[in-house]
Amino acid sequence: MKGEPLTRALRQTLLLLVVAGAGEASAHTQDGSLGDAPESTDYYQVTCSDDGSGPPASLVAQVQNRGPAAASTVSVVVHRGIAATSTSDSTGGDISVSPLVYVNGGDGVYNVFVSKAGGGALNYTLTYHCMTGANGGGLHTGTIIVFRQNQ
Amino acid sequence: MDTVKSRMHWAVAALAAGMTLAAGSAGAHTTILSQATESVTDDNALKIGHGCTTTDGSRIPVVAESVVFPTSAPTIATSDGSLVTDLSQVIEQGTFAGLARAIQNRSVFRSQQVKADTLGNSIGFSGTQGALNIDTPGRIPFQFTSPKFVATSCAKRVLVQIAIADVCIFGSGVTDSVKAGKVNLWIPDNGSQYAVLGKAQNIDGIGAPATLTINRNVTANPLPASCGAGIDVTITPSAADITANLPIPGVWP
Repeated sequence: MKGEPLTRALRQTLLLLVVAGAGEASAHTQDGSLGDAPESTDYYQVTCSDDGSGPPASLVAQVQNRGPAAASTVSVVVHRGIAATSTSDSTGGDISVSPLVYVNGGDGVYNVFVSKAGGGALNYTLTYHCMTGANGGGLHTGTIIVFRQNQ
Repeated sequence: MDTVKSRMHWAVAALAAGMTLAAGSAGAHTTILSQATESVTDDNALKIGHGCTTTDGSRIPVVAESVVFPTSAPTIATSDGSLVTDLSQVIEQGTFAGLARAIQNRSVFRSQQVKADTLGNSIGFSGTQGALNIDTPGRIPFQFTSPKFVATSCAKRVLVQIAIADVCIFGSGVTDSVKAGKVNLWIPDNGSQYAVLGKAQNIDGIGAPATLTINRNVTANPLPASCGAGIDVTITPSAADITANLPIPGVWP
């Protein structure tokens, strides 16, 4: 019986940790939408910095096409300096996501463009994380996003 | 002789006390707790030194605060007089939008609000429903992501001037709100409606904005050899930016 309050406290602590962890993860996803025009492009700047976890070495990114189901392919292009990469999710409205890609650009600003292959509005979720290691490795470090263009 | 010496002693003591008070007042501006380093995200804070003082000498606590970072067509000045026409010549971000974020805290203000531009990026913040004890300084925490200096820039430091209104008594309308004893305005003297009205009312802080110093990491991002010791670049919020964004919607002024 004496152990029960401790068990309850432990459960509450674990729940808090799970909630805190979920909050941290969702802080680096960006829900957005692209308008009807085929050329619609959302433009973000992601700044990678040292938040105490270490200097950044790379930015990883991924995009999910959240539909509608008939939506065209959504793509994200990540660019810094003379390096760039892209990844796409062709199926709208399901749980699949694009492959994770990275750019090894160190600290500073990464330009991130989200666009689509054809007409019709769609919703997407962009995931982005600055990491201390090359190729998306190491620890998560300072990551902020700024909207520069919303179409 | 004793009387003369005594009078001189009191005169010197009074002068010293006056100088101490003056120094204390000068050091009690609303300022920034810490300097920042390029490409580092860290917690910082605004330091509120004092509340308002009415014309009859009464001291009033700060009950609300508005904070605006320079993001809309800021003025750019350099220590050597060289011309910088765009912030993207100095920092990779090209803007301070999104770099400063209020940290949730109820030490002084029970309610917090975020100021955002039309794209939703943070450009400042405000606190309301507060009461800063008139005998204690206040700290308003915020998180700041220091920008990356452009490698070819000669900037060794970027000095970010931040417009701040420490509100003590709410007025009805701008003219009635910007009066001595009702608000302290730590803003540049550059023609915003608050600077114009505040200067006429002898409001504390006009021409003395809080300044966040960002130091270049010269180890990781050395100055070009042609830059010598480097320069300071001062970023000041425009008059239009202050006029548009210093108000706390629905609260002040």
